[in-house]
Amino acid sequence: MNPSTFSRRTLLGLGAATAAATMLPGCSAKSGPMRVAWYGPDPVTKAINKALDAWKSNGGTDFAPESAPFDDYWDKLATQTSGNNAPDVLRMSMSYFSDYAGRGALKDLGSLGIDTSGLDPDVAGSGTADGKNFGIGQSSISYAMYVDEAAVKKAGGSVPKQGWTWDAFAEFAKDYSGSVQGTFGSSDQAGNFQLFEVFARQHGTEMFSDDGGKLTTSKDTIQEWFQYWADLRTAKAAPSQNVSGETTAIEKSLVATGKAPLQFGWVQQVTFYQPLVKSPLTVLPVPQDKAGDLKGQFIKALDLWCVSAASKHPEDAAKLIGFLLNDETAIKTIGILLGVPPSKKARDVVSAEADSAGARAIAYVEDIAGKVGPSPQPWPKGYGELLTGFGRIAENIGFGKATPASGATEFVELAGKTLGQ
Amino acid sequence: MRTRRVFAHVGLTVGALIMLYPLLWMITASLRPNTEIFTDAGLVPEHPTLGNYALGWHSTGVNFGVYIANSLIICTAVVIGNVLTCSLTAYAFARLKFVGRKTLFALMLATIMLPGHVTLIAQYSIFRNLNWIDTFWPMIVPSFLATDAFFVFLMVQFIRSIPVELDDAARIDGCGAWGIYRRIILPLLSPALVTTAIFSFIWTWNNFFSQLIYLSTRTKLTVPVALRGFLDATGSSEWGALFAMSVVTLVPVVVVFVVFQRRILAGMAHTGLK
Repeated sequence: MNPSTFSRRTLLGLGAATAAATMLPGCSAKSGPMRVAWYGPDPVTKAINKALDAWKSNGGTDFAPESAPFDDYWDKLATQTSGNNAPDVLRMSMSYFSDYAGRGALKDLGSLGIDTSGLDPDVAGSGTADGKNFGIGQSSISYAMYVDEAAVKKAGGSVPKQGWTWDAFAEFAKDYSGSVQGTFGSSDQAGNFQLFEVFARQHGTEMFSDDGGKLTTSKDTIQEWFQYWADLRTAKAAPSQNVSGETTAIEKSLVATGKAPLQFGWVQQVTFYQPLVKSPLTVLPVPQDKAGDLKGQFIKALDLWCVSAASKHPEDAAKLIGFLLNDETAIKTIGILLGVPPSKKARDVVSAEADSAGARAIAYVEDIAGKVGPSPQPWPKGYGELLTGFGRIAENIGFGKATPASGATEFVELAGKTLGQ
Repeated sequence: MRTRRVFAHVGLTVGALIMLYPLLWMITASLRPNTEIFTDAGLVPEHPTLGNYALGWHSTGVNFGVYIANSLIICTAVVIGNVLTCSLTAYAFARLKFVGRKTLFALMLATIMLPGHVTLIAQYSIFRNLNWIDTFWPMIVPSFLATDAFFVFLMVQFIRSIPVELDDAARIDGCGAWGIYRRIILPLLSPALVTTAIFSFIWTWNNFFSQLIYLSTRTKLTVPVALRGFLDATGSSEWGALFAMSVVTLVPVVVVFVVFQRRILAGMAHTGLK
């Protein structure tokens, strides 16, 4: 059985139908302890386990933890949800949030009394869909660029502190790859849908309509984006598609192997790259349309704590989420493993203990907080498909199987088919 | 003649090395520090270390031996289940006459063609209603109900190649249907049984998906699920530990194959009329 040949969304949809049909009356599973599920690499799992232990020793109720790597988690959660056996407390990614919230798989947390008073305002609304609050943000994060300044200086370039335009970025990338043999000014970000969202917002519109039913970004903007990266590839300032295909893992990335001076990603991921790069990585905003204008960027929660609609322990689940959010021990244990903490209090607790990359990530979020644009609505249903589709189309362009124009058309068509279902 | 044989051997050796390269690479990668794994395509580690083995064995908070033991329990049970019940079912389809035999046989074959995802949710619901989630039962019990149609089909074909005269002779000697199965078919079926055992073992050992779906508690996880835990797209992956534990988990598969493979050949020699 190969899960990748079968979209998780289809699985979830199919399941919702069959679950109703196969529910045998009077034969439901007995309710064991509250189940807590999350995804993430090993350090995340260890930290959450420790935080859960703290919950237990603070008089919290019994629980059963479940964890899986990101990709596998969604196969499992879709099956569990369809089989009416979802975990009580679950970690939800913004990429799938609307799929689950829209199908009634998540509980409205409005009446459960979770203390969210300390949350950043941008994050507090991140889990809202149809006017109901289905999730509590775990992090305040934004997109960022991590620059190996030592490498840039060695190549004789300089990084403008106050941000730069996409044109200046292209110039920089060309200069860098020209001055250091065998390197690239940047990795190829053509298929990076999340970076593209910033680019799209810099072009005046949100990426999606407020109800999530339509793509509002124009075809021209998409084409411009694909063309921008195609030009960088032609100028050898960004690597060819072959190279990009082999350098997706963090350990193999161009910045880790010293073949590029910078990398893009969500701000907290700098802590994954830093151990692989000798000199400190500076965290900067992504390039802008007008230098210094950060309105294209936004701060929101990328991951949320949710309670499943079928939970038999909603009160305990809510208490646990409140604990993970507000308890000092829990905050310290989790640190910035789930992202930059979503409240001022938590950031203060964590930044004192964070390693330097973590502290820089926190400082970055606090620094840009007043300058970014409003945070967008939760990503719409089908976002996961658009995310992979965008990457696939960019790859085809990279391999010369499509042009930026035809790729943009293809994406608009894909969005038309996927959204608003 | 001699030179031709030398050439043939050289050619075969080179070919074998090429086929083995990925495996050798994995073994040597397991001996490298994490930072060296992808920077060096050669086979000889510069700074060989056994650290990955220690790390991998302990890093998930549960001793890796627990996962291996869990996998072995499930695999052994599945092998027993498949060998027993698939051979019984195959015997019935191949030799016994009963109402609806052809229809049932066709239905059974149809289950091979059904993609697993179609039945996944219904299966999950059944096991949930039985309260079997997070136990080994969803992996084991189906194999005792001859649900693996592929093996049933394999054995049906095999039994059809055994001369019916042997059955007739046994019947004259006083054997009933059970006696024929037990004394005639089962011994002659041994190559197919061994094939079934080997494949049941390897497929179950590697069956990631259902083990991911049904098992949740750390101490109940199996090898493939635990191995995947070393990788995560959202963070840094423990490649060294992953390769080290992959090498460790190859051992039982190789042992099972080597031990049982001899039996296939032995079984072949026993077939046929004497």
